[in-house]
Amino acid sequence: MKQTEVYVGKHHTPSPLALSLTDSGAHLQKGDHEQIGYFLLQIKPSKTANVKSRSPLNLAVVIDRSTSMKGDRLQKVKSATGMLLEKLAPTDLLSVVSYSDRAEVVIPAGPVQDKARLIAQISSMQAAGGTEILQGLVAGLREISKAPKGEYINQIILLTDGHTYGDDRECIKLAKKAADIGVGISAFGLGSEWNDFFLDKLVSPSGGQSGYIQEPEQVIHLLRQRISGLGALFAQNMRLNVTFPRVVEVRDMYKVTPFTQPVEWDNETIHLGAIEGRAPLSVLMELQFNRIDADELIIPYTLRADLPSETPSNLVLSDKYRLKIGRPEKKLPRKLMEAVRLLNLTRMNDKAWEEAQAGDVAAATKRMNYLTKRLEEAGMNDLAQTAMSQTMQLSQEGTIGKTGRIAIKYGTRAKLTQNLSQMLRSGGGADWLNGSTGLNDLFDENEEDVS
Amino acid sequence: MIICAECGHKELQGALFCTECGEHLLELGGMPAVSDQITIERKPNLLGHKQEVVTRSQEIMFMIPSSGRRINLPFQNKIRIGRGEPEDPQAPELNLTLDDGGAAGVSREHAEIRMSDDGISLVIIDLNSTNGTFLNHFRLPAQLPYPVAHGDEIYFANLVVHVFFR
Repeated sequence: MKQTEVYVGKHHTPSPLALSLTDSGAHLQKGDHEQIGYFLLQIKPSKTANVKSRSPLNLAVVIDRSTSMKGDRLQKVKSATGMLLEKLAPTDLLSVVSYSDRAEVVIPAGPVQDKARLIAQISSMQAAGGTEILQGLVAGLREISKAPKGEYINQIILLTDGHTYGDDRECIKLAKKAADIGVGISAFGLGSEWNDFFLDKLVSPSGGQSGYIQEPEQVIHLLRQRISGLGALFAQNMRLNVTFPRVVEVRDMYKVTPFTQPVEWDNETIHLGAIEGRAPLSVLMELQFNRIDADELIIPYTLRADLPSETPSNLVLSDKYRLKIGRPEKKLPRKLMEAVRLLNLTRMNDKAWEEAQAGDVAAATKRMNYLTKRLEEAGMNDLAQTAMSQTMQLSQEGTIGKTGRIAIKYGTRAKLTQNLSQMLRSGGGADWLNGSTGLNDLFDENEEDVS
Repeated sequence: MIICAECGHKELQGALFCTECGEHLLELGGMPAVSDQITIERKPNLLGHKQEVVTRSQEIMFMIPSSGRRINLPFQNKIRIGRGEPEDPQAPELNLTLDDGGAAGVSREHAEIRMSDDGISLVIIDLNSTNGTFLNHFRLPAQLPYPVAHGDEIYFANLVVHVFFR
């Protein structure tokens, strides 16, 4: 039977999860004008936590085999899936589903045995038909649900190269249902025809990852990365409830490590997904304050998580965060600045696209020019090049190329994660001392220990 | 509000980077972004009520959002604002011809920024321009000097210019 460990406020037993928060409260002021504030939340296993190296996986790989996948794409996906067989442990479960207008179970859920036969089954997939992602997801979820509950880390990995037609909403509903029963979804787009906004929405209920596969060769790399991340899973189904004062609105939220992904929230519940290994999970929040009438705002929060390798396996952490207002002479933590800076670039790219879509080519061009400059400043020369050719295309044709837009979107996301992870690894110790305002009781002081 | 010194875009207090151009809003090489709590919403005041005046300046930066131009001019005695041929040595220091000032209704001799007669602060004076000079949306009576402040938004006819002092 599952038990729950509850930590509220100050406590003496160390919690298996350590939480820390940094904010930009130094740059807020008392007053009734609208203001913007940022929070960077980090959660990671505490030093004493028992981080197992590997938990059994229950994976469903859902493969788009629509006509457009013909040739190199499907071939590479097939060989990547074949490689997966080598990476899985005997205790893992795997199923493979392919879909076009309908879905077929290529490999039913089960342990990986008789690899030669499984590889032959994978190779038998043929590209033909349209793209109905819902069909594939339904079949994938059915395969995953065959495994006994609570014993596996459940994940659907979707690979697609196209738009899905008319079933977007149903797909997202299904993703929510899957998240509720502990099944995560990761989704990867190949080429440039797929809908990146849709994939972001699809993975967000479970806190999963969406990504861009520019070259079919990268499929193998991405799958391998996902498997090792999932295998080392320490906490999953993490939900954060924050009771912001009524004058605060959440404007935007992004998970920034271990990968960058927009986060959804509803009724104050923020779905954070999983912690993989000892790597910290960080979330950047952008908040709008409509009025501030105290020097300190008290923000109660509760974090719930499932910890497969801990007993008891359910955790509830509850505390209050004190946000101190004003003190602009304080330097803001570097990692907070860096996260906001790079997130801003991602958004400039989105915004230029929106402007171009709305026919405001002049505004979009101006913004892309700025973006080019910023990407260059940030040392992302390849992306700056891409942005420059986007700008040229914009001035000549009045549109923004999708391949370029997606490359910049996922490129800036990757850079954000990379820089943040580096900063956290190299120990943001100095940052914490002079930057963070109001450490809370659950704060794990040993920042250097992140590995 | 915070005004971005790079592009003149307005951001809410507390913003760290300009959403328009990506510029860092906290450290701008000696040209700090300013809060318009004290500047942009400040209305010029004949009686000299509490204002953030500029008492001296070595350099004035003008930002023209419509053209994206950013001009740094050394400040000695005065800076003339208007239109002229780009090559003409007599052209005003801030030559708005380059920003389509003609189409926007800017006069040839539109306004000037100089030290006030009492030497207390820098002021702007509308030189009887046809379409007027507006300081923070307040139309300046012609020929009357008004103190200017870091981060002011000035319309020369329909052309908006943001002004920063160093």
